[in-house]
Amino acid sequence: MTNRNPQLIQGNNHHALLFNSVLWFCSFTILLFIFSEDNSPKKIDFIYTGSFLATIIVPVLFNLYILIPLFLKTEKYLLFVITFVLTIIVFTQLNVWFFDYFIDYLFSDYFFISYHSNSKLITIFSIFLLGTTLIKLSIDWFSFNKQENVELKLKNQQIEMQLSLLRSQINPHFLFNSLNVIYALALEKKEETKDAIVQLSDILRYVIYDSNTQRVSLKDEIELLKNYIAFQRFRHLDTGNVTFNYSIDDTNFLIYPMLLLPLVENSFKYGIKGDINHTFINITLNQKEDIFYFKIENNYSDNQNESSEHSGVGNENIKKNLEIVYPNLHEFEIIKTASSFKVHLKLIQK
Amino acid sequence: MKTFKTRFFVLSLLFLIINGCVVKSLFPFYTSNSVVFEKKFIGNWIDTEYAKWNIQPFQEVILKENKKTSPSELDDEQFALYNKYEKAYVVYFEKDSTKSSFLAMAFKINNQLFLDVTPIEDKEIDDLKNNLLYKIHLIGTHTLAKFDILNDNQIDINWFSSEKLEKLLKENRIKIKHEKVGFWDTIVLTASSDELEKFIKKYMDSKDEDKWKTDVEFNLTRVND
Repeated sequence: MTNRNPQLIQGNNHHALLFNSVLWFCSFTILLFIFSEDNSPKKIDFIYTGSFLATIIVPVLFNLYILIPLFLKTEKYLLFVITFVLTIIVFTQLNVWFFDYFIDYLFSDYFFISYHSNSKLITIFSIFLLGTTLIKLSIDWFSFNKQENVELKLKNQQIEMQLSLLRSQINPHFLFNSLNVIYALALEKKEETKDAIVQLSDILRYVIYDSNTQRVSLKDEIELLKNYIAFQRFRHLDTGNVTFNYSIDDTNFLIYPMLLLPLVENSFKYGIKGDINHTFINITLNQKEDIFYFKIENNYSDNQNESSEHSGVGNENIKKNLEIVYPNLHEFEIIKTASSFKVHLKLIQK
Repeated sequence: MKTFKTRFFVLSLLFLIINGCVVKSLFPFYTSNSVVFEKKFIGNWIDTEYAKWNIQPFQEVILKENKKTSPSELDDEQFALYNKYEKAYVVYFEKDSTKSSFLAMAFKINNQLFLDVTPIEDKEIDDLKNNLLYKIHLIGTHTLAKFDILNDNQIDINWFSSEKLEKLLKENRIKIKHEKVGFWDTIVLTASSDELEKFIKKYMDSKDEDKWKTDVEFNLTRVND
């Protein structure tokens, strides 16, 4: 993690202080009772344990805060092992010298004679350094895991926010177009206006309530498309060239909601509107096992450039949605020819 | 029975007086690096209590005891001892018609001579009836004595007083391996020879002016043969 925030660093400093306080308090207590002959430590035992701990704190901290970050965490394992062993040897010898010479200057009234052989000292230092290394790595792992979970939650929240934003871009877009249709019917005072309002109401219910889930069944999504096509017939009476064929194995096959409607919406808006004499929309939907195909094609001509800019916004939204909800599990292809505009969508169920 | 009771009382008293006042150790107080051989120590000496001290090099004694003139004539076991105690002395101590012998090793720490003394045999104990049963319960310990050669004819030997060690232990100012053994809870050091040397060095540096004060001290004067 390179971009760590100041709060985390401050937290780590607090953890280091707490970690060292607990570690050295526990070590002192354990060593005190090991070094005492009976279970009632005397003044000389406190002095010896304190002095012994002083000689072991330095190599342990050196290992924890220099060797581990410098070599172990950067995967220089051989270098770490060599310096680790050298640390044990050097500091064990320093401990011997400390108790042979320097301790007399500090506590001249005391005789620290029978304690540990060199081999026992090396064992104690090795246990301390190995033990604290393992404890440090365990704590780091817990901390790393916790941080990773926090980051994962943040990422999920970001995705949720992004999806919510994309949906909020789709819904007004759709509503705006639908109201235009009803407005057109009302202007012409057509009988079908009330039916169109009921159709729109059904579509909006689906869009507002049912689509706010992670996945919807293919059956519901097909019903939405059927409703939408039927709704569009109120506006475009000569939409006999609109075909919708589908073949599905499993009606409960789940897909991300409102993924197909914008594509159909675009076809109606820019295909039917674009060339009133040669309009067509062909929709094909297939689902077999884990694979889902959706193909939509509508008429297209070069004088539709102006409206293409608007449809581009819709397609970009769909692409962003697909990248989030079907990462590496989708194919989205737009094929433009002189007379047609095709979109191919393939989804793979996880 | 009366004889036994009297003898037990006398021995116990003697044990208390003698055992209670010098520091004893299971292991020698010296290491091979500090051992020295002082020719001046060899000879006949008499102390202020008129006890006779006859000091001989261990190698000479072992040849004499085995009636050999050359070490190569010794058997393997004796030859090993001959080499092991190359710089040792045998001290024959005779007082009030009692005789005992000791193995002594001189060693030097910070230019101060010391003697490590351990018993070889005790004529008094050997004379006891059923001595085998008694003897199998005994083990020779090492004692430490400060050893000063004043001149060619005078030496002082001051045994290290157990009072000093007991005081250090009682005040919890020392950590040294030891055990309290026997009927009288006698303190016996069980520290290694390395640790014992380390203790002697530190003890020599201690501020206690009476650190070598002892009840067991001998001033020897050379006796011409």
